[in-house]
Amino acid sequence: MDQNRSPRRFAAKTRQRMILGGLAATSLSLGACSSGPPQLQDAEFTTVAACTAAGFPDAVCQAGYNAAFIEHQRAAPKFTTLPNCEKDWGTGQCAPAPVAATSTSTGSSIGSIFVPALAGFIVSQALQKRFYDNDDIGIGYYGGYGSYRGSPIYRNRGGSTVALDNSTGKAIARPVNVNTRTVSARGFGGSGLSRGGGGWGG
Amino acid sequence: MRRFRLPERPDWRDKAQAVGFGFHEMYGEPYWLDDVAYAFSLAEIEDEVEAPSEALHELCMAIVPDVVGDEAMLRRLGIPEAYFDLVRDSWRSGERHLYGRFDLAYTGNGPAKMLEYNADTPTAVFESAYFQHNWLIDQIEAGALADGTDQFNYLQESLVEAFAQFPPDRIFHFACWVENEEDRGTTTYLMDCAVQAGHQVEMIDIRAIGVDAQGRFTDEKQRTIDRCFKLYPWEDMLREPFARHLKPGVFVEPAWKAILSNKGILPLLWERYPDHPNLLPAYFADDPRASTLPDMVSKPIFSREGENVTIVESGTVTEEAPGVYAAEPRIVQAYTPLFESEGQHAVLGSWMIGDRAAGLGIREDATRITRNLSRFVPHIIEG
Repeated sequence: MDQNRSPRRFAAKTRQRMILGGLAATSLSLGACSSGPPQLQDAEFTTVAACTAAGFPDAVCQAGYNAAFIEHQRAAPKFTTLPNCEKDWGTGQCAPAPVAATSTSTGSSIGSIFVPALAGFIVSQALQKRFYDNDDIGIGYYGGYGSYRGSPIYRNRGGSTVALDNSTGKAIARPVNVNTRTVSARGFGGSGLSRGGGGWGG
Repeated sequence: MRRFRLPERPDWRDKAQAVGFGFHEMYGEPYWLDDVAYAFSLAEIEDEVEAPSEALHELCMAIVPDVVGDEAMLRRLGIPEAYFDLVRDSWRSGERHLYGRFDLAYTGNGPAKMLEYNADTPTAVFESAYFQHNWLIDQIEAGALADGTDQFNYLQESLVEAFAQFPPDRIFHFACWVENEEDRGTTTYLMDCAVQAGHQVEMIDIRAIGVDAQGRFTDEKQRTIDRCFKLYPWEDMLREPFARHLKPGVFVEPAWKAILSNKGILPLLWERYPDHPNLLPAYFADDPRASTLPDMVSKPIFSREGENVTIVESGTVTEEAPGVYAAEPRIVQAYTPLFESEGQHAVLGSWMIGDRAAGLGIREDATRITRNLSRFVPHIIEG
């Protein structure tokens, strides 16, 4: 080492070997297609219609929405004024809190409490499993969901969809991509074919 | 700087296989060399690679606002007119960038010279960040390298840090040409870094990207694609059918990187910073000054992997790489020699993660044009 240079080390001294996060080690060599039984995955929707359009049974979509709505009534972040709510969630993103469901799932407003507007719901793996295992959702529309807790989706200030953290009840952003329906594909990649496919390394 | 031999690790192929590094051989030729390395002094790394890379990156970043504000320049760089606004908005909205790799010519004598900036789809990041580092640790433990031996490499932690700058509020999609083993490997490695930064990730083939009725990009599971890394060149995306659905804020690298990854940036840099120690004279091919360069390298503005690069010495073509970019506009750059030893020519790949120089990966080739059959050779800093 240079006498005049302060010692400096780039490669971490304490680290023995690099650790991969677990993904690369198992899948760096695998293609995109995985074998084995299809896995249930959380699916996110903005409306029940979008949910059924994506191929989920009506009962699953309706139960997912209802459970999310009940959870929304129970646990949505509450504000005493509209401006306070909009400060956190963005202009136009808040609404008066719905009354706890009695006879209608859309609820009526109290007027003195404001919450972020419900922007969608998650059809969770647990909910799907319940349906596919029992061939029935096995839970009522209003209440009676037992330990199952719905997952409402909100839209944050930046316009991205977020969910509340179920375990803490706090409004913590969670990756939620709204489900939609693809109307067109293969609009990228055309130039790749003429070049034999991939190998874009610069 | 010197090139030296050492014993290869007896089990390195198994180690490569264990982490899915199947492309240690490509096109039937070795790609990773375990028994050769380049050695640098700390001064060479700090003064001739790290500091100049950061300085060059600053020059590049300083030139982007000029280009986005000048339609003639955007045209010169081959950005389709319909997407001037996209590139402009991408820059002006401050879209975050992830990484890039300078290719430098450095011989150990005189300053390193910037050959180009792979600022859009750089590869060899897995080899540089991960496999090269574990090679160092193994070789020290085997006694083949001295205890204090170091490496210019804090790439993996920098990548994890850079991914952590993106909020984990949506699925981070990673698009590439999935059938290509090298592209898939590079992409998977970056996904792994993103997972370590707390992201939920999903790989998608570039061709499988769809759009919904509102013009939002979608994946095969009918979810919107809200943030997407792509190992696919901007110059191609901007010429394909879905270009009309592009808007800022979705793809990484962002659209403004189309400016820096373009070899047209080389004459623009030289025009603005003539005689900068780390730049080579460069002109657009139709510039009368282009013919004043005695020995020069002619490059298409969009070329990848050295394709259609030509070396001209004293007016005669002395080396030429084939490719699919022959019809593209060209630039010329003054010829500068590469480090040469045992018939191999080395190019230094100096990595920028965000705005910081974070590591080095060296590729060598039997010819003076580094292309897809070049080999990756690890490096050390001698203690």
